[in-house]
Amino acid sequence: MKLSALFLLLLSFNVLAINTDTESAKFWLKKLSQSLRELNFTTSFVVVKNNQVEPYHWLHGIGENELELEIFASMNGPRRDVLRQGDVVSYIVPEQEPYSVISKDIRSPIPSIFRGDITALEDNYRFISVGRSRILGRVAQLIRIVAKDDYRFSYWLWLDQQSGLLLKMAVLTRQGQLLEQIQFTRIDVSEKLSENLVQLQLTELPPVGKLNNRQEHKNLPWQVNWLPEGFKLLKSNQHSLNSYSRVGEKTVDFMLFTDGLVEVSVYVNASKENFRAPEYANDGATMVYNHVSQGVEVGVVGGVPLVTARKIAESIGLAPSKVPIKKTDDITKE
Amino acid sequence: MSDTKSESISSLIDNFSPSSDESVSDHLVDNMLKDEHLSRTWQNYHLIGDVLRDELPQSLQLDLSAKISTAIAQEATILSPNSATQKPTATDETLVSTSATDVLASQESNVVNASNRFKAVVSRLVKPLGQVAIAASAAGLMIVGVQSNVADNALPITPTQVVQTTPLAGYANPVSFSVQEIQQSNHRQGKQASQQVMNQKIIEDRVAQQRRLQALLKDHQQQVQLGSKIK
Repeated sequence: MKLSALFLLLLSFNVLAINTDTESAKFWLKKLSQSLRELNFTTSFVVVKNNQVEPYHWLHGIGENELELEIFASMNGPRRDVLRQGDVVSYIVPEQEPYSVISKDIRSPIPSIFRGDITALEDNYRFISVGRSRILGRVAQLIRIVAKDDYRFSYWLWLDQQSGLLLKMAVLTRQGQLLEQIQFTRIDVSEKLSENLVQLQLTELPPVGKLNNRQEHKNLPWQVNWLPEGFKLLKSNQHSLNSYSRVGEKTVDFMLFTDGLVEVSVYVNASKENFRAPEYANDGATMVYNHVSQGVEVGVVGGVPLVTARKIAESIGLAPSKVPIKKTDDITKE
Repeated sequence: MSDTKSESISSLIDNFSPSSDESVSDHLVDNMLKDEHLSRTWQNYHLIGDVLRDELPQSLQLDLSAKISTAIAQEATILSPNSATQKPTATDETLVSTSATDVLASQESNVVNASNRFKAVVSRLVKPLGQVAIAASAAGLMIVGVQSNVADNALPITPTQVVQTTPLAGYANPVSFSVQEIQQSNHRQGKQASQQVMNQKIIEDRVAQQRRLQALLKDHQQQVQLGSKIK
């Protein structure tokens, strides 16, 4: 009698514990998002993938009139900087005029959803608070964002107990293989805006370019018949692959999907070949897949496992209510 | 004349130039080297000086210089590579330096082109960040070590090959990467083709394949960067 009561008690404790794990994870993720939006911080981190290290510098702060200021800079190789003042994001890349786009986030190795409403991911990912450890000499809270199905990767986040900021991140397969890591090497949170951001505040960013017209939604003669749960179309268009200045660039039909955390691009174009075996490669947690089947070349790129990419690619079919597609030559000439 | 010369030789030996003008003593040395009489005087004066200072060796060898010069004459000639290559490298250097100045000039014009004060300010702005990079890369080294340990238990579904890019701004570096191809395509162009032709074909295929994948990756990153309006 006593024993069974104890047993019941233990059981309820367990259930409770699982719930509190999730609740606590959500609490921390919300804190992360808030910190990323509201704190003045100066950080350095490295991205580790493919046995390679890419160091970055990341500053964020709140300027006058509550204007968010942000700088992302890659430290190795040619200068690549991203600057943000509120909604205007400017990209400074080599061999190109600097340009700006209207956007709320900087595209960086750190998923932009972390600054937003993380609960949008709840349908497809589970949040689990695992415990504490020591990262960068600080007490860190380990939160796992675990995919609910086999079609995406999982993310481990180590958050600073004090500020809630990210200290480390790892992208893993469901089987636990490590694909990509981000390790912060310095974090300074300050009351005052840092010198660089003060300067950024005074800087006039390049004008917002006309590049934004690429955002249109265009009806394409193709459709993707299978996607993992929760992926939605962000945009679709036709453009030429801006590859390494090859003459006679071909246009491709393009669709961009996202599940809130990762993006997947799908490219479809007619090919001169009838068949080509699947080719693939990965850049850290980004998979690139390409094949030609029945005269149609399909490419899938994104932060999903190879199975997912292949399955998406194989599901490409004709859109039902569309005029039949043009023959190979017409498309490639365009 | 000869007297004044001997006198100046004497003072030269005593580390003292008769006239304050250095060129005179230079002249004197030149003359001395040519004139047998003067050089013997030079020798003798040295000997006298040595005797006076009591610096004579035990066994006196009066004409050491003659022995040395014969020894030098018998020495094998060493052809120095410097003398042969110096000229061309010099011209190379000038070439390089001119091209360097060209580059500089073009850079300068670039700067002028983009002289919207924006760029200037930006470069000033991000410069101080450099110091931190060192710390960052040092930490990075540690992580590489850790990662290579973990990478051992590879699972079959994830390919081992890699693409290398710098994704911050969505532009892939033009770095080559190795891709493993599923070997079916080789079957097709079958047996009539010679091995060599086939190898050639495989290499070309590889290159084309790399380009395709790299182009896709690059475009993906750019597209994501341009249109990520999730919220």
